[in-house]
Amino acid sequence: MFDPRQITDPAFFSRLDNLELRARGIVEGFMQGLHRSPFVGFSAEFASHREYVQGDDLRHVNWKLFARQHRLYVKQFDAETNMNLYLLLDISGSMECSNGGLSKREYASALAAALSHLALKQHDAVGLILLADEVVAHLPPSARPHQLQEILRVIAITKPRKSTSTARAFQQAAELCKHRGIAIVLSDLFDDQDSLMKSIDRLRFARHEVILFHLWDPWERDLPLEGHYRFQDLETGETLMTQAESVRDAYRTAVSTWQSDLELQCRNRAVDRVELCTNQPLDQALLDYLVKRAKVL
Amino acid sequence: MSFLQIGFLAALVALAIPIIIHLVFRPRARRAPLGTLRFLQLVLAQHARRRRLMHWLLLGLRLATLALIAFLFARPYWMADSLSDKRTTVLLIDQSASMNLRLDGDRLIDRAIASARKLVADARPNEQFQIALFDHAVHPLALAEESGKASDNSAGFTGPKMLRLLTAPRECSGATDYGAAVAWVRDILAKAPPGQKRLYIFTDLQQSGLAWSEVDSLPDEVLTQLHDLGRSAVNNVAVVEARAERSWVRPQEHTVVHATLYNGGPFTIEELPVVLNLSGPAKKIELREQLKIEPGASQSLKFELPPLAAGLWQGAVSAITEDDLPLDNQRHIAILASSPYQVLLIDGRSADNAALSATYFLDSALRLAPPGEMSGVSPFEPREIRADEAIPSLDQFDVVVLADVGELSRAKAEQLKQFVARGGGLIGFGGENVTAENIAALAAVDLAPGIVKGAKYATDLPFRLKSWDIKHPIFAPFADPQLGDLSRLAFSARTEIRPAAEAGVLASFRDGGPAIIERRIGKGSILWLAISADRRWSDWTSSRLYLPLVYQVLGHQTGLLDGGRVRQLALDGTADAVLKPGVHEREGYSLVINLSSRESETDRCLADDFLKRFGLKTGRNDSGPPSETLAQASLGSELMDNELWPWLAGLLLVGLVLETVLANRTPA
Repeated sequence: MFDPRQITDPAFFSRLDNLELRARGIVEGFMQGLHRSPFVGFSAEFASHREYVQGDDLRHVNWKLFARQHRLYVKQFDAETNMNLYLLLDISGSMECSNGGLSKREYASALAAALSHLALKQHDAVGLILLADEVVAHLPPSARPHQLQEILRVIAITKPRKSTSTARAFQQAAELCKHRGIAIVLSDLFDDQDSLMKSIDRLRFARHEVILFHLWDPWERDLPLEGHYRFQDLETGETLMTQAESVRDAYRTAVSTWQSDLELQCRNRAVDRVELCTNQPLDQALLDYLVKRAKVL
Repeated sequence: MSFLQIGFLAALVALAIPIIIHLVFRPRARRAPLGTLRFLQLVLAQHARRRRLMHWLLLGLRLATLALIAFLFARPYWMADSLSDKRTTVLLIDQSASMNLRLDGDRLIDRAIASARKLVADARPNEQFQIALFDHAVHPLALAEESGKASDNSAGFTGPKMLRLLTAPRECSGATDYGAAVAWVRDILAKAPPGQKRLYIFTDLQQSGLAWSEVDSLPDEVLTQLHDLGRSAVNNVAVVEARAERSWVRPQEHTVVHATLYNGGPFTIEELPVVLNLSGPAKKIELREQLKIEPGASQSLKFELPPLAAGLWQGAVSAITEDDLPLDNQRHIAILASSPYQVLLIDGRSADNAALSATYFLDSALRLAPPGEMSGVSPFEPREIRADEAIPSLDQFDVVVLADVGELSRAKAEQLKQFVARGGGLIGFGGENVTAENIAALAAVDLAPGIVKGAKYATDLPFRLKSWDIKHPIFAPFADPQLGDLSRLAFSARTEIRPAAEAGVLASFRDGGPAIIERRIGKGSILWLAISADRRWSDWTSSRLYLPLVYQVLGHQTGLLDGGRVRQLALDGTADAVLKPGVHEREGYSLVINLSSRESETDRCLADDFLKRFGLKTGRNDSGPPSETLAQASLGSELMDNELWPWLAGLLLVGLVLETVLANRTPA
């Protein structure tokens, strides 16, 4: 049974703090001028000027100052913001798959906690929507200090559902995400791709920036098994028996094809899709993502 | 296909094992929860048909593997003789004298025939039989027999008829020649229709029958079953030789009979009574002797005969004993006490001096003993007359010789013609008197060798013989030039003859002219020599070849070259198949027939030696009496030639490899 307190482990958050420092250092430190912070969009209040260096976004150049002094200065903003971060956490039956140690739901919960922690540290409002075949639980965005505890409490008390109906759940979630912000979806995305993309489109139409944290169980992704196995679908209960090694190659090809299709759909919509496997260290996975995103932005 | 160890087929029950594995016991699978089965379902749907096929293939392969193991232990062999195939079966039955031996009261030949009859009775449809009894010759019983067409009488022999023909001979007296029998089988099978070929030999494996002749091996596809009917221990005493020192003596002359006896039994015979019985024209002679013979040894003795009156004396030398093979306990003998061959020499040159007559050298030569003979008595008794004298009655003569005889009266010619027609021999020598005109009387009665043109004289080189028929009995001694080269004889003249169409030229001169001409007339024959019998045309009368050639010519016309008036014959390779032991009267001679002495040697050879000697391949005996080979093979101590286990072992190996590969590549 998943214990939500483990994600409030001080050591974990300490690692997250380090993570934040590391990310901030990476993004705002020596990579200054080369990359934008992934959370730069969250801040809106002007703080000061500094001299332009190569690589700075030209949008932030103060052209009026340039006209007066014939030198380029860029505007710096405070981290304070009122941007909203919506965490859409999938708690369907398929998220209970736990062949890599943590289940995908546990892994996603920890990830949600980490993201909340980071956002709240930047004084952003963080909201939580737990969804399965419908929205199961909802926590409106708030930047209050106790918001993290509230988020963890909701995750802990909410029971997972057996099945997933993405379209209905995302429609309900889109209605709940009233203000423009960042919508982070934490799910295994095991649904019909067309339905899934329609759901994401609903979020995009609401002018949310959508980030997909695509979670995998290691068995689901690679099928690293030998011998006869009776595989059970955690949502439908359906079973299927086969010899793992005999279908492994074809299985991986099918997974890879599905991933490629999904990636293509996401790129077409300018949606970030981050693949995470439950056997990866969470902080490392998050760091990789932040670095990757910083490079892209 | 059939099996040597059919009990192992019970192992086929093991075929249930893979079926149970496949159908009853499912693979024990571990549980693996997944978030979705969509990918597995997709993959398995794509491979479902292939997987199902692989499963059945795997099941089939496992079943086949188990079945192969069961078959392998059951030792299948190829039964090439399926019912639909044609089969040629040859039965060779030994009917030599040794087959008169008895085993448990039955003669060996009776047992052989019984076994052969059983084979014929159990014949399959489309099975052709070739059956022969053999001794020193082969006696085919019948033509090809299709026992499956018993109702079709027009097609040949029916099955029951073949069984009627297949009966044991009352008496077996021939020698054993396995080589001749196997050669006959080889010829028969070479002409046999395509299909399986089998040979069954029923014999006593007599050792003495092996070394007669060389035979090529039978084809590999011929399978042979050897039925050894012989006895392991035989008590046999035999008279292996009975020979008169001279079988043709003059009346009131003495002679000696030599006899040799052989003890083939395991014990020494201390006092073996041996009796010579001879029956003459008016008297019987019985002489007795006793012998001691060690086992496996031969012992000789001789009987001194009293003066024999004129006539044929015939009888036998007998060993008075009881043994397993009574047939060879006596040996027939015949002695003729009579005058020698009467030769009438007709001299065509009436000379005052006898030495200048045409028959002088002939008369002198014929009174001498023949070359090489121990006896000083000539087999010929010549009588000389002149051509102008009256010819005496020719009934008392065996041969008439015309030496440079010219003109003869028609009556004399007719007399000579009747003489030849009755079987007499006429010999003509050339000379100056032999001209076309002078020979007209003989030509009129068809006694001329052809068209006689007269004397032809040599000019630069003398006439010499160039070629002669070395296969003719006359020239047998001259086949080797080392012993006498006839081409060294030189003649200053010769009688030129154009041979008649039915005449045969036995020798020719270098110029192609005939030197010796033979012509058959009635029961007799005439022999013309185109050379003179005296020194008129040649000095060959002083040559060392004169006497032999004259004796050969006379011997041929009298029958002396064929054995004389008493001829001996052993029932072996050269003997006629239907002859029986005894003294038989023939036209002009007596024929003494005895068993081959080899038949008295009852030593046996091993079956393997026999098979190896003739290159015979042993085969399975499926319808005949049990064979040694099959018995050994069924015990597992020997392999049969047509066993299939090497193929099955190979298939099993391939099956196991395939099963391993397939099992590792087949999804559950």
